[in-house]
Amino acid sequence: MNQPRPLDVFGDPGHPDTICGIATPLGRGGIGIIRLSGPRAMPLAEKVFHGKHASLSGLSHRVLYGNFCDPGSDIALDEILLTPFKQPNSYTGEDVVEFSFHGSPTILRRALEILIAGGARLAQPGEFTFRAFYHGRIDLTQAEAVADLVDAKSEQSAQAAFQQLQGTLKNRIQTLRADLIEGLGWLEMSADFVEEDLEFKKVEEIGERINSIAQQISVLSKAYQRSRIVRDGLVITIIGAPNAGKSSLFNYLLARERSIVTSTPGTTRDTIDEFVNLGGYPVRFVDTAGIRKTAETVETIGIDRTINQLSESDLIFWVVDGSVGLTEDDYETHQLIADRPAIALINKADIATGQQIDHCRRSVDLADVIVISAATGKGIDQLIDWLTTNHLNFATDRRIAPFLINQRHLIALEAAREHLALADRALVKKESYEFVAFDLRKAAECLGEITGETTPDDILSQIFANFCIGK
Amino acid sequence: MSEVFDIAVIGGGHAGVEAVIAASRMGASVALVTTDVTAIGRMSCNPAIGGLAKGHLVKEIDALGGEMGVLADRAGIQFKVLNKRKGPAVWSSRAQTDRKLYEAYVREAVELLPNTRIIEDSVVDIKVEHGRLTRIITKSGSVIKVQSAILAGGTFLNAIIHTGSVSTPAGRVGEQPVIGLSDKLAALGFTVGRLKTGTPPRVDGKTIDFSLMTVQPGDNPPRPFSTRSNGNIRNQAECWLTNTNEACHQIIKQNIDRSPLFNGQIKGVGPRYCPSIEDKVVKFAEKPSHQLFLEPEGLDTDQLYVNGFSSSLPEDVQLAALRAVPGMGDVAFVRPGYAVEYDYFPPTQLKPTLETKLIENLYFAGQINGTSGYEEAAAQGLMAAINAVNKLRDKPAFILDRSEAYIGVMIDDLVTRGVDEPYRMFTSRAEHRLHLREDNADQRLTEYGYRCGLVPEERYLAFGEKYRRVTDEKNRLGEQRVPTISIPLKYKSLRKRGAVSLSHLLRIPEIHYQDLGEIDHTFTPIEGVIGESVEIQIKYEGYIERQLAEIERFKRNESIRIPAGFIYGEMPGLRTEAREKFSRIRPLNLGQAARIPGITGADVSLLMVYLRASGRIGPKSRI
Repeated sequence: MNQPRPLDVFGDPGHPDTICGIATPLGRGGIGIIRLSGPRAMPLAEKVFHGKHASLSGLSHRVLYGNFCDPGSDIALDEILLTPFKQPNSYTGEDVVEFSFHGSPTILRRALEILIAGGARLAQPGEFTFRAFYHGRIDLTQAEAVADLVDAKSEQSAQAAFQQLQGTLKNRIQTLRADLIEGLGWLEMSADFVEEDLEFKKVEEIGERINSIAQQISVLSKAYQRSRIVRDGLVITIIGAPNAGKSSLFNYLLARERSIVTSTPGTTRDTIDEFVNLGGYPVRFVDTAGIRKTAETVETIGIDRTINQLSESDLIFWVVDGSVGLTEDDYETHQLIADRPAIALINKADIATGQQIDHCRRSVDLADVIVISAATGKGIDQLIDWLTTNHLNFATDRRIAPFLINQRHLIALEAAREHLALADRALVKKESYEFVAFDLRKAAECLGEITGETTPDDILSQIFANFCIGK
Repeated sequence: MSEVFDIAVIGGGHAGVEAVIAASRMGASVALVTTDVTAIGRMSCNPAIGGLAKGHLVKEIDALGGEMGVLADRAGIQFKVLNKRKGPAVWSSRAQTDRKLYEAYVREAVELLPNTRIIEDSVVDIKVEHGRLTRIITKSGSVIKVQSAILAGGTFLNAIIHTGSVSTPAGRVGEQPVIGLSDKLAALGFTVGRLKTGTPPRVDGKTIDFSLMTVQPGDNPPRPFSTRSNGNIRNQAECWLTNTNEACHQIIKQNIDRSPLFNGQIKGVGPRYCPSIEDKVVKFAEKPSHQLFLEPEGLDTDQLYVNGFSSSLPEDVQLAALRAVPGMGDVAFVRPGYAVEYDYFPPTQLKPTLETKLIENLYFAGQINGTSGYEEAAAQGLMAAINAVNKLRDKPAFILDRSEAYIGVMIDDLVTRGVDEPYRMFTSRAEHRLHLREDNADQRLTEYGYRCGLVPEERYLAFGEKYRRVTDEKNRLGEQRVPTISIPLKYKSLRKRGAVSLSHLLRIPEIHYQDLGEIDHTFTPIEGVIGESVEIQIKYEGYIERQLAEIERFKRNESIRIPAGFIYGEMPGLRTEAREKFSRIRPLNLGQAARIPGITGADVSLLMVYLRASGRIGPKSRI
């Protein structure tokens, strides 16, 4: 998670300037949108937009067709669609203009330069959302969801972010909190009304309530793992000896799944990442340099990197050359991946003999083994099936809530669960109810932090620090 | 009358009394204006001081240098610590008091005050110049020039008493209400509301068969409220417990249409936590019986107060119903129960100093702020007086926050959240409850009392000495070790071998400080409160430390101050509702802003962002 930044990077929101930024991910998709927000958004847009209407007043929320021109030279940069949003009914709550371009990064960059020359300022990461929040357009959980939505790398992810934007996570937490506060009421009653002949709840009943809430919280906590995958992708590292066929498998998978999302060549390290969309979830494949036993320093650094990479992975594909069998380096690899989630892929099924493959299967000593051929595609379907069933099967898992849980949520949920456990322990130890109540109160506060019902300063800066530009 | 007073205290009830005493001790010249000097310090309802969470208030008043604890100890005839089977945070002291003695001691305390004039009159109007209070005007026509005034009118403003269909203008039975003042205040712009409270019948003890009831004795030894009461307290009376029954409920149900609570005659809102007997019978119809406590009114009287039987039913119905109760077959009334309806001023109209936002130098304290109970009233009287005197002397406001005292919790609740029924203190209102205990009230507040000039030097030094001894004793327990082999087997939960420190032993639930001498024969425990403080601090160390960590967190938002006169209209993005509420409540800091009902986390975040971004997080400002 990024370091929280002080809020003053956004300047004085009481006296806002006009900001602009690219609202769509760079280098993706058919169109690119530039958003302009602030008191000078309308006049600035009128200056650069040449369409049927000279003035944008009275045209709020209408899509207008025209050219985006450089006012200096009057040369049209692109044919665009322009949508003005008059304040306060806009994303940020200020005057907003959105320009839809034909997506070329060069054109978008040039358009930004023109707007900046016209008096706008390039938006800081998260600044649009900050302004939306500042103008009361969205609350905290919604603000985070926007970040997730824009960042969403697949449909599943977009759906979850959208649900959160609609406030469902908030509702769920609020219900839990209400249940908790009801239980707290039972305890408080016995402390404050000792002399009344009231019937107090029994320890068991209070314990049941605490445990039921703790369970529901862990359902939400579990969603974190999925959320992380939904947001950042399931990280699969491909490892194996240099000539085992890692790269062919890598290329085969990428070629097979056409919906490549992004491509980040690992220039600073010996790994190559690719995003692939599998069953609606982003999967990040990382190709490693491979393990080779050597005394040379450079190679050692490479191995360290590989080890780091392994610990950041959700899953490891260990590619073994079926026609050769396990090498000494493979045994090294085997040591490395022990106790990590991994599957052995016995490659080159097209050239290896049945006997060789059987021998290999015995030697790899892993629970999950699939025989494949990266050359012919044999076994790849089976691999994808295995992958979706075992690692991306969230839709049918009812123990996991359909929300995007980010790290801030997770910390608060875990803290709440810890307090519930302490409360339960106090209950079991027959501590007086006010001690049990102490931790229940704390648990309720933790839940409140998620929905922003209690908002320490650091929550805010943490949230706004995690935005990317243009949202 | 040409005299000028620093402070006029209007009303001689529990709020007024503490206010007069504090203001006078702080050196102000004070006029106490009360309709009936013989009724100063009267206990309108039950003959007891303290009780759950109220005991905490009394201890806090005592620590700050107020008088209620001393008075209750002197007039006390039975002492009891409630909730003793629970943890120390919810232990609450209560004393049954002799009603007449209490009044006499209050009267004596007030009459001995220097620079204080008692005026028997009733205030009917106030004069305001440039938004500032300048004079009070009495029924007899006097115009008294004052620097400031504390209005502590109790249940007397436009008060009506109901017993059955009979309603009489009165503040208490046989006492004239104050008519006109609340209308004048309303004309000045104050919002006035209406609340209701009730009191049960007083009965003649000679007509009771106590053999059919359960005796409720006091604690042995009894414990005083005040650190100033040097052990001169005694249990001299007993309380009795009996229960209502179906026959009693039947009589009430048959006559329910004669209750002014149910036939629409009473419009004020009553307290949910202290329902009348007719309320209990109707709303909790499934309960076949309710507890009744008979409390003695005093030593030289047979009168008893029937706690739990508050009622505004006609006298004949009350009597018939009560006669169905075991032990009360021949009961005779000294006075029936009644309900009283009165004006109050929704307390969100006050600053946390209890000064009104509308009129400078006018303070409100006690039941007119929508509270209920002697202790709640007394605490407000004390705080209003300290603030009134401080302001006259250009000293900073005295505000206790929610982590420092129940008094802080109460006043914050009143001025931030307001009330929708008579407000009484509960321990559950205090989120920092594990820290706000009776045993450490002096530790929390004596320093403040001393700085206000209410705690004399000698007492302040004694307080310092007490906590030095507590610390020394804690150290001694930490150092003194005892071999586990010599520890009696009944303390089974001890598993450690070798030797353990005495403080280690004290953490075992069933081992108490006074037992340590029995375990380690070389150890002599200290008698009294020091040993108790040591035991609480060691036994509950884990929770206490966690509570203190919470308080640290709480203080962060509390320390982000909102500048006085901050204009919310300039803040963009604020919801209209939030803007209206912030402007009306005028929170002092971000923490208080967040506690306003209907304010969301987003509103507060927005406010914080705005204060932060525009660099307007101001220095500590005067209220």
